[in-house]
Amino acid sequence: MEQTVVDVNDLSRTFGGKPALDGIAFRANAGQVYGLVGSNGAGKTTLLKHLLGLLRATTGSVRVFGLDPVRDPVGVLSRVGYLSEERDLPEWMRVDELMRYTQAYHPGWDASYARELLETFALDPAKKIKELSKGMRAQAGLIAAVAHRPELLILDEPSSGLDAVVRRDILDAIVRAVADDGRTVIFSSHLLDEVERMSDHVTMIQNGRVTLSGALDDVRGAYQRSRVHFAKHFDQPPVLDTVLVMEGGGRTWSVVHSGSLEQFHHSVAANGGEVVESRDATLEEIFLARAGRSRQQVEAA
Amino acid sequence: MRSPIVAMLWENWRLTRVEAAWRLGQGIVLGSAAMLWLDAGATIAFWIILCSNAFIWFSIAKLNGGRFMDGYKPGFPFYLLYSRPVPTFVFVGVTVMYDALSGVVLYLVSAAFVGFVFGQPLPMFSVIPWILASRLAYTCVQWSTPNRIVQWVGSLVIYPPLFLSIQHSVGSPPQVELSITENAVMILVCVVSFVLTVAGVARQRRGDFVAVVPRAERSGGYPDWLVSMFRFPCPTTSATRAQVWFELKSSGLPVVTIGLAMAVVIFLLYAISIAVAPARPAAVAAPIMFGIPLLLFYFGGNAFGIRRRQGRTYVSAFEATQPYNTAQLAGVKVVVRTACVLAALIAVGVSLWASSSLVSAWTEWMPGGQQVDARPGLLQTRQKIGDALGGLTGYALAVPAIVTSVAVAFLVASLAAFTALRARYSRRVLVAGLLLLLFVLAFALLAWATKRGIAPEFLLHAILRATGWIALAAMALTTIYLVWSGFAGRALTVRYACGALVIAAAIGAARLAGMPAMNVAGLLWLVLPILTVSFLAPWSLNRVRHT
Repeated sequence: MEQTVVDVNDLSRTFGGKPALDGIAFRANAGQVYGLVGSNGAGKTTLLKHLLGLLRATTGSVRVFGLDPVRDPVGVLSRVGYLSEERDLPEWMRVDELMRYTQAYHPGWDASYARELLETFALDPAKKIKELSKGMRAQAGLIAAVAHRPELLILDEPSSGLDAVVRRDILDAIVRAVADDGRTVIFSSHLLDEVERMSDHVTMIQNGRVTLSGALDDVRGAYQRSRVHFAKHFDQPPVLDTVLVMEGGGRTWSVVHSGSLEQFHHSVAANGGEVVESRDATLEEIFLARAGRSRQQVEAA
Repeated sequence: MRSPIVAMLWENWRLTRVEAAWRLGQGIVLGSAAMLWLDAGATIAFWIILCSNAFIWFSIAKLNGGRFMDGYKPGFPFYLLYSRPVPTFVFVGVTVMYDALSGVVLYLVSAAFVGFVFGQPLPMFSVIPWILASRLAYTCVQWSTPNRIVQWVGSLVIYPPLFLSIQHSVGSPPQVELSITENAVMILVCVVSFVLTVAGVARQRRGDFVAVVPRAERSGGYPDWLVSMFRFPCPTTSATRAQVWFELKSSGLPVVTIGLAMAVVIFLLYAISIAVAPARPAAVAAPIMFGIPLLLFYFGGNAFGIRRRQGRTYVSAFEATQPYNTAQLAGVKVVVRTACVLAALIAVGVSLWASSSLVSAWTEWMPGGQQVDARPGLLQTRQKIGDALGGLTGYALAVPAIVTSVAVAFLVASLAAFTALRARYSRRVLVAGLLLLLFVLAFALLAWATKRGIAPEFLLHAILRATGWIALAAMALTTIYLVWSGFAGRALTVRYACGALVIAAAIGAARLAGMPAMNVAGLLWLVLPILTVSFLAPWSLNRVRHT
């Protein structure tokens, strides 16, 4: 039986009367990597802050390891590693002081792993945090977050500031290693290829609501991108079943759609067209379709 | 807003409107209180209102990242205007003029109100050149350079002559009569200050000075060299030791260092004053009037390390996500800061005591012999303090030492809780503060009416007595709520609560032992505030940690 690490139910939160999260449900099991995607201001960071107990739920419940992170911060945070989006580290500390300070809070600190990561990132332990570049801060924060081998690793936009090599080779490896150890990773990102590459599950948040959630393979299998050719010219997209978004014009249209292919083919044929080709949609295409941000709509706006 | 000038004025108004309300309220309330209860009320009220409006807008200064020692990046605060298509003299002019003229308007409104209500007119238009000159000179020093040393020295240099220039023309009742020459000097100060400010900001805009754009994250707020002065490794054996190390490094030891530096400066001031007679009043007054309050209220403040950035106040996510109980965290922060402030105070006190022996080396108080000679009084007071302390046994000395420590801890915890509450509930704290000001104003007016025989005296006494009991009841209810809420939210621990109770009980018992006939209200006034603040501190930290 899968062990539930995070259980969020009907979570709502408002800021100044405006809803930031609206009835969110989210569940994470041990040994899996969960990617949160969504446009700016969708509520990803707000959700992560609730998991850490930095924010209180207006309504609903948040349980991490079965505990309320607001009422029992020590119980939760001692088992969590966190890298914040702002790379919020004390600027006056040196890198080695940051490591020792974090170590004091976590008896399970793996000093050799921390050293190994410091060498991998080529971080100078004698350097002050304020002297580090944004990417180096992210690396220092990442080491502090993972070196105690937390049961739950929460990364808020971990790629921000990291170069492509570090992002692809090191971050991926760290995240995979954590998950392979039977521990859980939840990360938010606006880089959809990264989410697609790293995560086992994807959750899409829009305007404070979960619009899509599931295993990555299931999500990708549920959406197709098809090229459709019609016999007659269309100025406006024709009405087809299960379509999320249509791009193009005239007789040829690109369509992102869900549901069964058979139903879609039938719907196209009913409008005097045929499906030229179909393939599984990428996460980016699904995201753009779900977010309602097709190029056509943006141009229309 | 089609005009950039209107947009800039709007920006200034939005930034300063709360502080403007505070300054207006503060001037009126404190001025009214002075009028009512002090013999030289009109003169004191005049100075209070003048000083309330003679300094820079702190809310504009905060644009650069907070208070001066809390990450404040000196220089021109509206640096975002550098990238706008507006000439430097225009945006500097708009900002400087807004700052200066708003000070004038606030002064005039406050002075007119207090003067009218109490029937003693205060100086009005004759003081305007002085206010303009002082504000322009101050903004010049603060904004024309990002160099902190220049700012500090400049601020110290400009005000004494400005105050001296107005002091001689103020009588009782206060009347400011500046001569034509003095008015011309004030105008000259305004013009020179403005030109220097524009030139300084233009240099900053060109990048000739070091950039003053605030950093994304901030350290404890102290200069880097001060924090780096002490190098000792962070203990890894326990979270509490690591947290103590964190507090000592980030803010505690810098406070001690500043205290030691103050101690040295005090000694030097007394030593210099042997030869330089005009420095004598400064040597006597500065440590007590500025040094000790600065240590207590400024360096003892914000023990929870609440950060400010561009109007946003927040607690560091790095600290908030460490697995450490909130009550323990609050306790460690308050205790470490208290210990460091006490160490700094002791350094200043010892220096003051040792330096004051130099008073006997002063040949006279001031040359000219017109002023009252303060030397005999100072030496006599010194002798009395020495005799009083010398006559105490070790046990008897421990009591005031403990009481002082608890008092400093109380102050540190109160300031920390206030900062946290203001960060979390800024609007409610503002409303509560304004209501308090209104109450004091209403009470002052009632007292004035009683003095004139308009209102019955018993009403004043009844309200005063009722206020005391209502305040006690409010404190008791608040404490009960804090305890309940603290335990319900697990912000409090039994150990912490017991510690707070023991301290409050010990202070109460010690007071009772010294004054067995003390009434219940007196005892409650001693014990309840300690209890309330003890529980308020972790509760408020919990509220900003989990918003």
